[in-house]
Amino acid sequence: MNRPIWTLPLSKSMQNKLNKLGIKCCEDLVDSLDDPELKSKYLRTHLESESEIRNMLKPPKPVTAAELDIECDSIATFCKAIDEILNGGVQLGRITELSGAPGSGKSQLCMQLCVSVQIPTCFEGLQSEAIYVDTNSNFSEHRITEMINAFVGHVSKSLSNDFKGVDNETLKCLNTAEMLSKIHRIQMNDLNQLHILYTTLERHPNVKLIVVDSFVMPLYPIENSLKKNTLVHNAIDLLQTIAYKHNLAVVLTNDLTTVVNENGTEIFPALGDSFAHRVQFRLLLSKIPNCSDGYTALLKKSIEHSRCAARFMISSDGVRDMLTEQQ
Amino acid sequence: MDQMTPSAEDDLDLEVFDPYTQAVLLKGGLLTTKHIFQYTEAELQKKFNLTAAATRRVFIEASKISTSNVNSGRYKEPHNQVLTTGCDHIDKALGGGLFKYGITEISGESGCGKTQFCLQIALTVQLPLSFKGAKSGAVYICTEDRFPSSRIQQMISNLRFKYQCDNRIDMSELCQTNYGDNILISHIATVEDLKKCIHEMLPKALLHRSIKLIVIDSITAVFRGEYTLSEAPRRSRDLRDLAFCLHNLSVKHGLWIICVNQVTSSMSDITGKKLVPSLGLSWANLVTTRLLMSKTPCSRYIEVIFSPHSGPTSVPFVVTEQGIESLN
Repeated sequence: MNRPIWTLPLSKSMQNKLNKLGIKCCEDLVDSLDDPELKSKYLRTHLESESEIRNMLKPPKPVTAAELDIECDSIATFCKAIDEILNGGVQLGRITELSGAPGSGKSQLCMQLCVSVQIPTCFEGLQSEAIYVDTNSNFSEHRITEMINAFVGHVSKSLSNDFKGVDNETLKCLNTAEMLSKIHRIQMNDLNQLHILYTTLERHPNVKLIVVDSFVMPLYPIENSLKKNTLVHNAIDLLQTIAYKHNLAVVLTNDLTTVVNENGTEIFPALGDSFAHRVQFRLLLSKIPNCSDGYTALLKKSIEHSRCAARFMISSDGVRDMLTEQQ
Repeated sequence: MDQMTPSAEDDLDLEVFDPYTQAVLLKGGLLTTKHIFQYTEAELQKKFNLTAAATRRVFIEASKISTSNVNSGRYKEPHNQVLTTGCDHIDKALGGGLFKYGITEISGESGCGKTQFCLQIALTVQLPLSFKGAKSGAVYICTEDRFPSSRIQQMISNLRFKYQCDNRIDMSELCQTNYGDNILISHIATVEDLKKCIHEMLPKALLHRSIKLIVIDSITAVFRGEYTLSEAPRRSRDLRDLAFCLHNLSVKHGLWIICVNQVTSSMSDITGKKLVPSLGLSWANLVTTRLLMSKTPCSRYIEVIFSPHSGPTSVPFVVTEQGIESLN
């Protein structure tokens, strides 16, 4: 069975041109690429370059499960309980959604991840950079500085306990200014602007984490729900492509919204079911009532775990495990 | 919201594209970022007969221009600059003071000091930078009551006692400002007028005067009366629109925005009556920092409910002739 030309992602005029030359299916196109005379005829339009066409014609290469690296990398938070339910932390190449009421610790967790992605390799970290897409002005340089100082303090403490195998080069990078400069903040007010990530990633290839806080904020003024849906899915497509290609983790934050149904009113994460299909991990964060800094994270969707919950606290140092007496 | 008026600031730079793409964009009238963002990548590619790579390029260039417009003063000012509340203890609880960008909400029962707090910030924003002020004016939108001019005069005359300092240069700078002149006041009673004020009046005022603070006292008054129960969706849409627009202004011009909110007693709590800020979840989602004031027979408290900059804390304060002060 030959694959017809129109199934390729070619522009209309290009397809017409090929049709006129008698190229009807992919096999013809492959042959014509080796024929310099024919090739020059349709490539003269400069619509598609030769390498693009060759890429289109390449069949996808299958990989067996055994070949796949089973241990996929993840960004550990500073809280063991959350790492456990997420199977080691926020996973690279995947999209993780954090939802919760205002004040439930979403932005705090995001900022903490921007710090933990920078843990040097000698401490089994990723030693990478982060992009923080800020749509709701929740990015706080003040708070991140606090978290970084706590981290640097922690590292120097463990180093005094005779930690071997750390070279001076990495240690030099562990100061507040250097670590702050590895968090790239972009302010946005429209999800279409996410296209800028392509160029940002070219400039900073060592990025392993993209945070979009919040994903819903730019959608609030859009009333047409069809248009909203298209925007959401295009943005997710873009983020998913980037996540695959660069093997980086994407973290989105989502708000809660009230839904009226037969049982009265209930509170759900915004954007509905079609969005829920698109993320691989969903965490619902909430504050524990009558507890000054206690929070819970409920795992709502995951490939590896069933529904479970973790408790954490937010101190001035950042996101941490609950102290045992509090539990 | 902004209509499709092409302005120079979101014009595409056609020079960066190849001649074919340039011609297509010109012919299709796709000259601003807003025109581009009407389409998705796939739609644009199909409709205007571009290659995948060229379409991607157009979107990347458009988003470059569009993101650089989100914040016009990004490189001019230190970001996350703080503004003092005029009280060291409250500043400390907030993580250094009020942070620029985003909406700060202050709620509480009537008579617990919300307006006092706002008036004080309308003055501290005019302080010189060395006093953690912003040396700019304020817009004060009243929806509940007349602007308390005699109270602010009292606070202004007491201001110099509050900031007594040894340094004479600072002192003269402090006295030079004519504090009353830098507060623009607007009385508004309906949602329609408030929309008009925020969408049309404010952007113009921001162009002509140096304004860094917008106070809405209160946002609740207009939104509580005008809607019937069945109109809840329309109310939350209007609220969202307003908050989004305020937020955009705040990011674009580097403003502090303070909204006063009332409180509602929540019935869901089994332990009894509990006061929660009004206007529900659709408003709360758009608030950056939420503060709650409360009053007991012997003292007043200001509480940080949530803030990206600091954790939840509570600070006692008193209202004096000079304004709001914390107890030592």
